[in-house]
Amino acid sequence: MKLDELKAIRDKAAAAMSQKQKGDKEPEWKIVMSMGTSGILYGARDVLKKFMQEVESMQLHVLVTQSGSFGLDDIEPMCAIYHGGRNKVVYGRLKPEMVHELLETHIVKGEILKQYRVVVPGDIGNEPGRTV
Amino acid sequence: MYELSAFILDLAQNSLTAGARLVKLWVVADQQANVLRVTIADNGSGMPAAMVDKALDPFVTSKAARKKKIGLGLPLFRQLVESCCGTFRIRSRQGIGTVVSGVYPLDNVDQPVLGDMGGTMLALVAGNPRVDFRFVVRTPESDKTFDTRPVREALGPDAAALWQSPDMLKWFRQELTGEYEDGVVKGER
Ligand SMILES: Nc1ncnc2c1ncn2[C@@H]1O[C@H](COP(=O)(O)OP(=O)(O)OP(=O)(O)O)[C@@H](O)[C@H]1O
Ligand SMILES: [Mg+2]
Repeated sequence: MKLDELKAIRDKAAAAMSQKQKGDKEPEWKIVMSMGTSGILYGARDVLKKFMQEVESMQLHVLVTQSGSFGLDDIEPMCAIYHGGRNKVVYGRLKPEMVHELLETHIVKGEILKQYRVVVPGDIGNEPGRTV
Repeated sequence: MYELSAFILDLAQNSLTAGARLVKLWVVADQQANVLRVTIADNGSGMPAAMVDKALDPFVTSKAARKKKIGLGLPLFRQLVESCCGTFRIRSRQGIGTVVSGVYPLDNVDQPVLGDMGGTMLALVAGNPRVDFRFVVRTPESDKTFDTRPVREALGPDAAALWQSPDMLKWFRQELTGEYEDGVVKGER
């Protein structure tokens, strides 16, 4: 492990981080990938890898994580995107090549990407055209 | 599933769902005994004895019945191990944690490839800023050990906040998958 590189990363980040981001706080944006058996079978790992790669290259402040199955096997691979810990939008039947557009639209522009969206109980509302 | 690394991701996800703070994984080829040993141990909630038997039944899941009726992870791994003429074991104690293992002969036709083990490790490590992982992978396909605890220590008190910064994602990706910007994949050895 190249642990010596971590000190540089830490110092650079400490200088750049606003007081608000420091400490144990989670980022405002959170992407939760469904990673149960069926999600994995349908390719969730590759989609998650792509999310991490894009967050890295687009320099976003987003937590990309995973959970057990959502119980919606027919729309795997799927993820839920949360903003401020509450608002939740679910996207399904994802492929790695959709990820950039999804991040660009949902997180950078703050708009829902309707083609990939799946409306499930408990998300932020079904009004067409509603922004995040 | 035909990649061992995908089964491992599935089992590790069970550990995370059970609230584990530390997940340890060994995938070690023992050439002398001619077996591959896969062990995943966690300090999550564990299960009462009666639940362990039930967990091996694909029609049982602790998830809300309304949402989900079958749990496949454990039965599938067991089937994999047993189809390779191996031995599957699960030990769990409530409040302590769970250990799942499979041991099977190295040279059998049904043996799955290891597959994208780097992707599995990256998903687990980078995706869970508050959970520690220790991996020991020593097979003919890959030789890698990794522990998040020294990483956390080196990052200091803001470790969780820094965990998914672009710089850390890059660091994890390079460490765990050996993939560099130009797309050149570095050998693990
Ligand atoms: N490491 C663990 N710690 C505690 N409980 C576990 C662990 N692994 C499995 N279980 C229990 O066993 C049940 C069955 O696990 P299994 O992986 O087979 O299915 P699942 O996780 O419920 O669903 P799926 O894996 O199909 O998405 C789980 O719901 C959980 O209650
Ligand atoms: Mg499971």
